[in-house]
Amino acid sequence: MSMFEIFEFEFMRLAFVGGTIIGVLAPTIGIFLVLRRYGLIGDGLGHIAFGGVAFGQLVKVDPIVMAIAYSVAAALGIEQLRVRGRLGGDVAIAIFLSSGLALGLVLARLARRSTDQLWNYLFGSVIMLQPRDILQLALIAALVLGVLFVVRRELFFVTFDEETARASGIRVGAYNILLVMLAALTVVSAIQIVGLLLISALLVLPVAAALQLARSFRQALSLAVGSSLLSVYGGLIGSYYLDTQPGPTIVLAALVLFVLVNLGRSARFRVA
Amino acid sequence: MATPILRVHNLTVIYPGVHPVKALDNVNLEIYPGEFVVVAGVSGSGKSTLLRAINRLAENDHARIEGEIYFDGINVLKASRRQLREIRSHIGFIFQEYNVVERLPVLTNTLVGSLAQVGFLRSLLGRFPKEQIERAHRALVRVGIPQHRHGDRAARLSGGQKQRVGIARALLQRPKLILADEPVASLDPITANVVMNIFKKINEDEGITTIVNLHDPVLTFKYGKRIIGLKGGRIIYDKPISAINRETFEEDIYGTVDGEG
Repeated sequence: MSMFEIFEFEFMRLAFVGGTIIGVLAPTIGIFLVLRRYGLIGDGLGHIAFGGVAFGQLVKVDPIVMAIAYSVAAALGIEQLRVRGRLGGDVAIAIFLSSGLALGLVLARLARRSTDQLWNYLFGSVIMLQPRDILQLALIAALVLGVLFVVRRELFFVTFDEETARASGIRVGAYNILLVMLAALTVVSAIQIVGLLLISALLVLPVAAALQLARSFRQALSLAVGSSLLSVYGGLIGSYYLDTQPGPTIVLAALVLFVLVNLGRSARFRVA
Repeated sequence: MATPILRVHNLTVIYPGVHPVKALDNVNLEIYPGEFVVVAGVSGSGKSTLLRAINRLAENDHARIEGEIYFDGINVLKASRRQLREIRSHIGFIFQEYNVVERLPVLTNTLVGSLAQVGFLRSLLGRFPKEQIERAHRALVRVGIPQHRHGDRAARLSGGQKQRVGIARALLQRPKLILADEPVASLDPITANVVMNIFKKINEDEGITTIVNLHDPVLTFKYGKRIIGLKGGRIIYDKPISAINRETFEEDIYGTVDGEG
């Protein structure tokens, strides 16, 4: 069995291209979320996007478009609840998370969709990948990364020190909302390859691993992207040979990396 | 006398909750351009709340601010969001815990002060304008951080140096008013004097109006040109240094301290 056998299938080639895009995109936005202690927002947005997918199917609108609309709207809602409602960010996310999933399941039932198809949106499935999907993913990624690049300095300071940013006259509220909206787009973009329920792991795990080792923001970002890409490739190859779903396999690969980094770190400290 | 740069009228600040706390109670004061004012009082007297009400940072602690605050003639409490950002960009705020980003270089930390002024289009070019970078270098040298340390991560600085970065950052805003909330409370006495002298020099050289909160009576007496005493959220003392009786000043502001001696 040739090692490159898996590249003989077009859907696997597309999965690797798409996986590369997500592998770069997810930790790049994730590092801002983790440092901002928004680690759970990816989860919340994923559940809500699922409601959007189901609604899209019910009213026969492109499910991805509907998922984007839902999760961007929810991103605004979560941020408003957090700022005005005097609820912690975690409570705001919890409210949207469970109601988003509940809404999705009810709508899916009304749309009479098979469980298989739902399963694919929730946990990813690469077999049906089309070049058009990768193009869509690339466009979303270009938009998110482009905006991130333009506002990176402001986001930096809003992320690291919200109070100083506010005191010096930076539009803290606007940048917070922007960050959450970019996270919403990222989550939806990963729908086919990692799935809506597991993408948050790719926002958080590689960043958490990188932060154990990095000594600067730039280093943390490159390490996070590196470990995220390793997880995506490892997960895709693993899922092909083990005949498992790509989403969960990628997440497990990311978890293995995270554990290895932590073991390596504590071993080093024991020696030192 | 000139028109005040800051006028506070019947200012009351309440932190709501099960047991609401009235942190400031009907405070009135006028600050004139170029003044160097020390606000003195024990912790809990309302010093921080006063400074944080002036630029409405206290709202983020969910405080309810009542009364009127005029900065440069604009009613701060009625300002729109855009106006408020504009007001804040003219007020340099210095924090007790320095609020520098440890992971980032000294220079970048300083440049935050110019972020609100670098417009969106300039931002698109992806870099800080050269002029701002040079201003940041100059401001840092001015507060005593030598050029060769500007690329260091802020984590490598001592407390006193971090606070100098905090001051340089405020200077980059080209502030009309500097508000310093217990800027030297976490520093040793010698470093505290060095930092206080920087505030003093900036005020004397550039005439930037400065309000500093201090709990330490020695520093208060040494640096204040006008001293305002707060106790239980009320102003109990407001005198220029020339009118202050050194003998009774501590007791006037802090009251008799129990259990001493």
